[in-house]
Amino acid sequence: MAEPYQKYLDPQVLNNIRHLEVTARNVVEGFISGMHRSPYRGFSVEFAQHREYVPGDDLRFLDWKAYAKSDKYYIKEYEEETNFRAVIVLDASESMRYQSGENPSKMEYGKYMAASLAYLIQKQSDAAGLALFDEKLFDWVPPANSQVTLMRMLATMHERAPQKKTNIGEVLTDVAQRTGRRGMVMVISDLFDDLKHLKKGLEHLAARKHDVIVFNVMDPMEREFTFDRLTQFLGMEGYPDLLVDPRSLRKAYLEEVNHFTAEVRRVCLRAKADFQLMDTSMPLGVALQAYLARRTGTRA
Amino acid sequence: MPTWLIWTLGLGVPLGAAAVPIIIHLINLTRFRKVDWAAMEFLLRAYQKTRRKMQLESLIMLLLRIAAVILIAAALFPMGCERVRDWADESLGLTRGSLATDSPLHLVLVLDNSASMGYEQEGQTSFDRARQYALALVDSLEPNRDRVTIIRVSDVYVPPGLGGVVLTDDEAAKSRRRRVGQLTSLNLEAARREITATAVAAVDTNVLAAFREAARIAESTPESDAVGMVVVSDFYMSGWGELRKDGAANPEFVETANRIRERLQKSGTSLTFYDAGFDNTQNVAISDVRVAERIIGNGMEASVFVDLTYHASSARAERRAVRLKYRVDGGTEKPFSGTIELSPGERRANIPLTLTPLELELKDDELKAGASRNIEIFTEQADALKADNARNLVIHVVPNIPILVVNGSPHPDPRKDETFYLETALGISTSRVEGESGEEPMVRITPNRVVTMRAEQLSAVDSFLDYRLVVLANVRDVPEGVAKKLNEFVDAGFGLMVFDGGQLDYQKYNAMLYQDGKGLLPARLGRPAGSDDEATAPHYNLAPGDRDHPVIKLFSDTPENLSIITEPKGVRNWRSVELPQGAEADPLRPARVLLNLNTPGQPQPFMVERAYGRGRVVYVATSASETWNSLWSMGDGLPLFLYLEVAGYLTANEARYSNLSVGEPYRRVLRVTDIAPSYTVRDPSGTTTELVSTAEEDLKLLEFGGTAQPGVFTVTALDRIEGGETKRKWQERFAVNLEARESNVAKLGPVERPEGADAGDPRSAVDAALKESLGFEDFLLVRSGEELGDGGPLGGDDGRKTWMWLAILGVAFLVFETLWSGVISKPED
Repeated sequence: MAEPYQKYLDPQVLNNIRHLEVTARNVVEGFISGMHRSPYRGFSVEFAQHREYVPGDDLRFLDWKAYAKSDKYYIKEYEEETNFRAVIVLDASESMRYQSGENPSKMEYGKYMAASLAYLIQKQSDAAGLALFDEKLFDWVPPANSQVTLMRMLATMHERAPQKKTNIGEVLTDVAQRTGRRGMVMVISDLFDDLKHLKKGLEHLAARKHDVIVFNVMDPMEREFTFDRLTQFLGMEGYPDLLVDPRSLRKAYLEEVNHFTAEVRRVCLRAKADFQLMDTSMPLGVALQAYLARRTGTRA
Repeated sequence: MPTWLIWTLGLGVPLGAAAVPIIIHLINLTRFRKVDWAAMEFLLRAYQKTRRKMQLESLIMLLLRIAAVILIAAALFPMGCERVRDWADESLGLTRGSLATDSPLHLVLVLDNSASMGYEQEGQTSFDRARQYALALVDSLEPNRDRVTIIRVSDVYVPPGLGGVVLTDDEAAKSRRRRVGQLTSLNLEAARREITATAVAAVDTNVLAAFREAARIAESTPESDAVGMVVVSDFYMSGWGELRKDGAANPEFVETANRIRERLQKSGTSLTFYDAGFDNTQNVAISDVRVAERIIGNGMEASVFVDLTYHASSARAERRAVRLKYRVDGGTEKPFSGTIELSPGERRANIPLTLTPLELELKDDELKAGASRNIEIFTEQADALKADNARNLVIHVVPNIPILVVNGSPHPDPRKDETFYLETALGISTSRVEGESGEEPMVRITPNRVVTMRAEQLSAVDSFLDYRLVVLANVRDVPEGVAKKLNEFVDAGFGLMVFDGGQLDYQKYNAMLYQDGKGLLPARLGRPAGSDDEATAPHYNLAPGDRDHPVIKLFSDTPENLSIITEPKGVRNWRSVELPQGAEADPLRPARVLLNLNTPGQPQPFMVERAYGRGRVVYVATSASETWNSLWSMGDGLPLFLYLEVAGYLTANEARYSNLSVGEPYRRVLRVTDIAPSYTVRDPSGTTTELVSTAEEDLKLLEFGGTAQPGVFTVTALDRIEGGETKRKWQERFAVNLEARESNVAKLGPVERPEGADAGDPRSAVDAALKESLGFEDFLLVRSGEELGDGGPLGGDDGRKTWMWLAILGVAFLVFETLWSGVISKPED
């Protein structure tokens, strides 16, 4: 059986990957350009030592605590981190296939998000890996900071079509075991699973001291449920079909969705994971912003 | 429309309409879109939570749609949905107008136009209110579909062929205009015209006849048409008293009302009464005016008696003070009574008015034929019901009453002459007023002019019709030709008096005049039963026989008067008579024994009367002279008073029809001398109508039935003179007055007022009385002022209104639901 990266030789695949890669790069470049003056600048490096202040230094890097203790001005100096590892865990279950109107499917959106994050991570000289899952973890790209790894990740995502049910708890446990040293785990999923499983998986990750960001990807229609006439809903992931007037169900449905989101947020909070709700109509920069915010507080 | 078609439409239309939303619903179920859905767990959970509510809402919406469509169908297609609406109305307790129907309606409108409807308050009469309501009722009907039959409760009906019959008292009573008038099957415009033209008729209310007529009309209306009935009246005791008989509901009325009710039930309508009367009513009525004398001759006084009655709705009404006035022939008003205080319900009878000979005196041109004098009696102040505040009395003043006395045994000695005493008594023509000088005007006691004839001259008489009374006194026999003329004479309405005597051939009398009960004589004559010997024969006194007889009643009123008859023992000879028995007896015209002779053992008939044709015959079993009795010389005045009364009684036909009640026909026998080429009658309003005399059995009769209004009517006989012009031959008047009972404006009430009922509430009283009298309760009583109330024909058509509102609601619902569906399908922010 050929290795996944061998597929990069296929011109069609390459073309598709290229498209994905270009999109990710545009997203990230644009994002970085947009946050030119953002306080996140320089956060991709680790703190190294203090040195005395000399005129012209950026006052933002003054160490006010050191000044309080020694009555001298010290500038904090950083050094580039070289061993930060981030794993993007992308849900490829059947439910991710859903899309409404002009919006991309949740899977598509997840792929772009994962690619963008990976690109950004590698851009900052960190190592990015990928885990694709449905009922179980079926594709694993170990974290690394190389173009080859990035291409592999893109190819893996490209060829995977959503099919089966979600079992996120088991998958996250598997990811926790595979990532030996402390790192960052970014979960991109609609999380349509039993929240107990999610909780269990996040607890495993937390036990391994991983920083976790949970991107809950949802389609706008799933969040707003604005169907206006009799509709037969064809269940995914083994759920039954339902013929119903959605107008009469909307209120109860939204209550369920909001309750679910709140529950996920609560589970994440307890597992010390960041939670970010991603609407497929939202710009991907939101996801990158969330990553960077989390990355700010991360120490290798 | 056939019943099956009504049912088919009645069920088919609503069911078809109801199926429309279901079909639309089912079609919609097949038109849905399919969506792959990821968040199925939330959807299923939401569905589980809301499934019952959704199903319920869905069901409600479906039902509402169905109901809306049915409502609209029911409102727009009432014909087809009639049964459904009826059922729904009944189920929901909705009151529909008492005439509400979707079929062509035949409205039977019973309109009370009796005199009591003229009762006025604040410038409006009960009839004004009734007419207004009736017109509004007709306006509420559907033009070109509905029709109206108007039954006027108090109409004067002149029957075709009226005439030819001179009535007995009984027949006259029966002929009273207790009839109703009807105008059948009018279109609405014609009905409006008739209602507008109807006026208060001054005739008494004839409720029972109106209901009988209404029942006939209702039952003859085709089944395909609905029948409604509205009775518009004042519900005063004057007319509605006949709902009761012997203190209970009149069974005939109950039966008739139930027939009507049965027909109305088939139509889905209710019997409706509209009370146009007033509540607090007070009415003083001149209830009767009469003259004591049977006939007034020129120069006689007339004793008039007036009755006053005070009718009030409440016994607690205030007392009323009334003063009476009169005038003769429209002359000067003269008071004749002091102030008369009346309590509610009180009747003051026999208030006297004496008319002097001068007031009644005939003028020169009246001396030959006599003349009618109209005495108008009225209250000084009019009250709410004006119709009975005045009353007319026509007195026919005759120059004299010609009486033919046939003397069967003349004698030069007046005391032995057969008719000397009798002539004197009957012809006692003048009497000087006591205490006045000889120059003062004379006052006549009787109007009689006695003509005497010997028995032998009888055969030479062409006709007896120039006389009013023929007296046969001890006339031996009556030849056949004379007997025939006497028959005609009596049959024409005049009187015959037969005195017995020793010369009388009883067998010939029986043959010619008794004729086995078919002749003039009231009894079969036998042999004399007493003795002529004045010295030795026992004398017997008289005893009243039929105390109700008008002649005897006068004597039996008081013990003193009675003693005039019973005390003198002056009869010693008499003829035994045998009253008609078996086949000889005429049950319709029986012989009446006025006086008996108190002989030992069985009392003997002394004075016997029978009606014959239109006249009467009185037979006296003793002689007119003193040959068989000593009555004249006993000084008690018995024969004078008795024979004068009998003569007056037998000649009273002359005055019988001068005073009539409204609707009672005028009838007059024309004597030979009265016959003229043409006759006219002028009613109180001045309208003159030509009368045609009728003939029956060689008798000429003049009849007029159009006595619809109270007042004085004038009949004129016209002779033709050269050049085609006419000349008055004779003229007489007659008065028509309101029936006294029509004055009773007390409100109808139940015989036994239900316990706890408000005695002062006329509505509940009328309601209770109607329930009591009708025998059922599903009728509607609408009071004046409550025309638009619940259930009434002009209002309260809750069912129809509710249906209309529900239909509008149905349309509004469908519109709203359509719009709302659009609204709720929009996403929320």
